[in-house]
Amino acid sequence: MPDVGDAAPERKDVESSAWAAAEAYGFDMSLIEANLRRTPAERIRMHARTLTLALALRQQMKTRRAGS
Amino acid sequence: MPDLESLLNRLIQGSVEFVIVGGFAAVAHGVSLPTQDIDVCCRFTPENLLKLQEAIADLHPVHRMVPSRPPLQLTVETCAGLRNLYLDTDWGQLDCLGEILGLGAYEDVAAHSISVELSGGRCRILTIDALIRAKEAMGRQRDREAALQLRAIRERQQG
Repeated sequence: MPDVGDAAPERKDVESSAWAAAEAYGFDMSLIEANLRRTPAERIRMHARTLTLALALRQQMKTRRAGS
Repeated sequence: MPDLESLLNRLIQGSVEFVIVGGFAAVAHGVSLPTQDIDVCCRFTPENLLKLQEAIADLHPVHRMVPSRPPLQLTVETCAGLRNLYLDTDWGQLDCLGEILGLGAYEDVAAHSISVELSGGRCRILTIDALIRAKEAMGRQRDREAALQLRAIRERQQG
């Protein structure tokens, strides 16, 4: 079982990684993990669906505001 | 409603010489940030630009940066002076760039690309290293954020 002294350098390595830097910035890295399990074609398809949904929602909100 | 995937497939099926760059390339590499247009680096020869025009002709392409939004009506003569094309179509925005900051002209960009299989066929996409370089050269907030994710993805892929 490592003690605190053994664990410290390992933690420093993790924190200095690009992955940890992106996580520290605030990105939800589980989304990127999920993307990396897909092929490029699947990533593009998923993005297209998300974008279509987001734009449809935006349009709905615009219509709703215009009607109120 | 935008349909960027189908728009991209038109270019593939029209045998246009291009490399996917920008936010759409970042998405293909696994970045989670959304983008609402397709950026491609094209060979800016009359032959290639006329192929591009033919591939999207029925999508009512217009020059979106020109206030009057004139339709895309390229000829061999007008192609000669072009360096970039910023288009809007029925299926979304398409930016065709003659060169990429941080990388260079089409030949340089193509040299830093890989072939990937997409739903419409095979096409070329900027490598993750070149995309990081291009994003960092742009320097905008959203480009820096994409570069941050791309660095994380590269690190994960290198294991």
